[in-house]
Amino acid sequence: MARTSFVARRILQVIPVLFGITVVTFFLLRLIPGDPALAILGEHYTKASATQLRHSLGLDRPLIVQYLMYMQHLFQGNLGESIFFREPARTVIAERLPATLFLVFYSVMLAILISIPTGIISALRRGGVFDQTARVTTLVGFAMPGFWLGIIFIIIFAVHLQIFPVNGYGTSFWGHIDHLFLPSLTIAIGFSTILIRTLRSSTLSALNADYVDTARIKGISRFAVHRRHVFRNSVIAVVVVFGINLAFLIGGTVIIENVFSIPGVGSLLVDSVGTRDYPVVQGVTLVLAVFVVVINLMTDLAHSALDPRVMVE
Amino acid sequence: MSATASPAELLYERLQSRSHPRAGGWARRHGTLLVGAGILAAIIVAAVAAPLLTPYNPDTLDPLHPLAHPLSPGHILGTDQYGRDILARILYGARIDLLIAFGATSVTLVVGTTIGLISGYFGGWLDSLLMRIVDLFFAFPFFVLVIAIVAMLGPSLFNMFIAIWLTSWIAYARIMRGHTVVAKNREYVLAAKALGYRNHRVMARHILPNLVSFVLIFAMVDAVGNVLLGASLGFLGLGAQPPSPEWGAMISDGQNYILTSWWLSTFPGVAIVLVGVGFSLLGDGLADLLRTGD
Amino acid sequence: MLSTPSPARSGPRRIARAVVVFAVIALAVAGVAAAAALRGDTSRASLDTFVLANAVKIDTLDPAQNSVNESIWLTQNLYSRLIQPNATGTALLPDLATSWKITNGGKTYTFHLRSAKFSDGSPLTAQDVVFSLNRSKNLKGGWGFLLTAVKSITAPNPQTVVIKLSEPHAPLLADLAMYAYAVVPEKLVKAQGDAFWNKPVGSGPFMVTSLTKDQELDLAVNPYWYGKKPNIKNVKVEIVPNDNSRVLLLQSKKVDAIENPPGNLIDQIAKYPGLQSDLFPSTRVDFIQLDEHFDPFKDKNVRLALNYGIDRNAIVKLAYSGHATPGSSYMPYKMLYWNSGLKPYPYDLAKAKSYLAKSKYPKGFNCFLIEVANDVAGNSTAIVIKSELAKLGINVSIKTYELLTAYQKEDGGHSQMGQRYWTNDIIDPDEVTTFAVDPNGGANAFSSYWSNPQATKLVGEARSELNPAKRQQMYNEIQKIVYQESPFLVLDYSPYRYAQGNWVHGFHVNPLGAYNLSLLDLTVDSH
Repeated sequence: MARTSFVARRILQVIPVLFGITVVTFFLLRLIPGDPALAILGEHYTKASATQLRHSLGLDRPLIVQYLMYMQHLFQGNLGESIFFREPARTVIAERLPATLFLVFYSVMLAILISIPTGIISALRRGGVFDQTARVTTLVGFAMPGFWLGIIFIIIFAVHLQIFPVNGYGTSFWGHIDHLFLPSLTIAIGFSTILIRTLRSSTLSALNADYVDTARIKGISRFAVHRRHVFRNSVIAVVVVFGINLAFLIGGTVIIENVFSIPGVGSLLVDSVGTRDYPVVQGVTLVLAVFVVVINLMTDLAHSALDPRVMVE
Repeated sequence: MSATASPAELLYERLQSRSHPRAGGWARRHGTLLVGAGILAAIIVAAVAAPLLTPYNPDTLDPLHPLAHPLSPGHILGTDQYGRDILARILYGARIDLLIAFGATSVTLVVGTTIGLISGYFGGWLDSLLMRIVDLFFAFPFFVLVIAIVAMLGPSLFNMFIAIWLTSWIAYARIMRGHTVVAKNREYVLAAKALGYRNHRVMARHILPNLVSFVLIFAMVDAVGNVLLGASLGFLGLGAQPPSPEWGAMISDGQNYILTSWWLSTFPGVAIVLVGVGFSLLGDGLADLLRTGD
Repeated sequence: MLSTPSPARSGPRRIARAVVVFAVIALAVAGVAAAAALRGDTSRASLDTFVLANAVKIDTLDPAQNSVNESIWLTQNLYSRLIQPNATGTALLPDLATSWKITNGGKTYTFHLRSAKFSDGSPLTAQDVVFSLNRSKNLKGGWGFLLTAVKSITAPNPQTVVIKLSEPHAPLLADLAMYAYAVVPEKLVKAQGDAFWNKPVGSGPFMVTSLTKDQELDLAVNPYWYGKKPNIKNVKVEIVPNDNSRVLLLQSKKVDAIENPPGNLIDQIAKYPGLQSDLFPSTRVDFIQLDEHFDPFKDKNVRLALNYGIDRNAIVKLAYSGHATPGSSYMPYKMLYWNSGLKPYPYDLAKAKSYLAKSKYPKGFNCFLIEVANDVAGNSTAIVIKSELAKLGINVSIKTYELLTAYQKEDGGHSQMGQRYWTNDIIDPDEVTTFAVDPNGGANAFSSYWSNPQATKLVGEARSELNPAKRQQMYNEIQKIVYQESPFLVLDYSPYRYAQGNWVHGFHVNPLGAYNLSLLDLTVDSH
């Protein structure tokens, strides 16, 4: 009972948040000076052409009216028409979303592969050479700007060694794997630093917990104890950190997409702010927000499943 | 704590749970703290003493010596496409990036902590309202918010500060509120209230001092984040603008030259990492100090 | 709950095994990636395909609506117009219209069409022309302002188009040669609406086989193309916004030509074995806006002081690595009726000081210069201007804004100095003159709010004057007035930068940026 009400409560909380996001995005965008007509007309801008264009785009109506129309369309699944591409915003976003999702997923896979062994071994062999090296590496990795690391990778692997392509997304599945390896690795390294530190410290805490000593005294093998108690608790911590950072990551691929010229929603977002393509910016923001909210929700649910104490708010 | 926290908050939580004091004298036990503080102090001194450390101005164009290699005569780190000395630009740029680290962080620290304290202490509808606003901000894709604010105000260093101030106070508010909620039911607070102390005094004199240290540790982690954010925005052209020697902008400037002159983008990146490492070690050291010290 | 341990599964070994498993998986992933890398690029260009890398994504392939230059240059391969500019951008050639007659004192144009087909085999008729021209002309915020003199466009028979004007309009043919007035199939556009533009049907030499707007555009030869059959069969356009990536793609021979390599790499590329860099003359003019709402700029002496106080050669060297031409006339370099008698203002500090001394601001003044963020050449230009004007006591503070915000701040009469540029859409000087000189042209003389009665009068006359020799005289005079009055500072003419492999023959870009004619003659050797 407690569980269902917890789940229900968390899901309901999502709605006002998403609603609030549409409001904030809509009005925030229109506070930015410069209008879309300028983007389209460029240096051939004259007041007359701009006025006409704005009228045809429906931009000269009162803001409230525009907002209400936007919400009405939204409920019908219509994100509006992209001012820049002259296509439904939904289509534009749908075309770019796969690249970002592939990138995020790939990064996560690599991050997990890097972090889990490193974190666990560091904890189990605390103070050893591996641990020290890992700690220094994560320290430096945490402070490293992603775009810088990405550029360094490009210089070394793409320019000098020519093992990987310099940019882009590729056209087939293997093409994606090939093109996105360096960018995903760049993101994974940043992500890993946090995961490794978390895993290490929570594993260490769990290792030192009283119940571990008790179980050992009772004669249970070290590994059985670890498997049953230590790892389970470390996993909880990592799940939480993982979920949070993943949510953070979704909006944060902007920089990497820029450096590696990946046609994803991150770079679409930056470009669209630049051209004041309101429908696309609103659409991307909403889509990303939905992802973030869903991931947070799932993380909460997973956390509460692993550790029911969390449900007491 | 609810799972919907920010990455930095969680890292901060993890830092607190380490419980392995080192053996040895004070310096040995707090080596991390000292190294971190040392690095930062060195960078601050270098930034302040920049005019003494280099004969060049970060802005002086020298069209006769563009793209000089590192270790060229007179230019240890080389020059950029306008002939400007890279070392000079890094030293003067340190002023900007340190300003971001301290300036952006301190404001959000103060504002966020205050809001969190008030929210946690008074509870009720105020608390609910503030925390809903915080939830909203958290769900908002962070970069979108920052980019929108900067686009709204125009790309500049100051506007970047505003964007950071507007978006980063929430984590502090959350942490402070969480701790305040726990603290306000503690005996010493109840006692203070029973003695008739006014609310603001209870908050300022009784609750806050105990929690300041936690917030400070988080601030160290946040500072690293702010420097990286500032550099990222500078890189995207949304932060400090050329000819400013902000490190992120320098890396961006050097992008067109990575095929021929790698040093333009590489050295500023090293500088960013150094500052980040300094803050991280300082934060780790502080966390250790708090655990073993009291 | 309690389990008895067995020796084979004791702690350290289990952990070691787990680590090994993880390591193997990690290696496997890395190995797959490397294998994919070694597999190489499966889409290598063959000799019948020309691969071009562009810097900017496509907005739309609708010629009436596209505003991104790169898209505009691409659509010119897909559709035909009545008339088209030639390869040097100085004259007009027939396209769909094989001949035309001008009657009724210059107010009636009769075009005779060739028999042409769209890429789906359907015939192109005069009705399609009428539909396309009207559609474009009537589009809100579009290019209709070029054709305000047009009263009617009709198709008396399927091979003839008649355009009637309310008054003689000299630029008409040049206007019709503009990319926005391309001909599209009426039936299909009406039937398919927006979806049509993702796989459009046109009568140009190439047609679209696939389109992903921010990644790639694939073209194949239009089987019904009426002109000279191209040597190549396919064109592939890749969108690569990152400058370095484009250059690397060319260096690794994965593309045949690239657009807009960074200025500082031009010389580098030229020295690279197998590659060449190109500087195609363009219609781009870079200038500094001087808003006369700001008092000092009302004074001609101040404006002349600025002209003599800025070293255009230094700007060319620092901002364009030497690859630009100092500017003189407001009209693009060597375009039709360009006044070659005008020379760029030389850098003369003494003269600058003397003009300033004659003005109301002999000691100089403070002002700001609006520049666009992330515009490398523009930012360098601003730095040079700032340091040079400082010698006159004019303190320029540089205000950087993101593109659209900058444009907004430069218009409206509250600006001071601002960075602007112009490119032609038609080969006729009427367009640039309207924007630069005509106070009623809608642009307030490049937002300077300057006007000169003699120049204004000449603009109107030149617009209606059909005799080329007389027009040349009028435009010469207009250019001279603008040069002497200097309502804005003309800095330089910068070319279009391209780079290509030596294995490409015949790639050429005209001053309007179009390369569609060159694609007809292009050949690609093996490489």
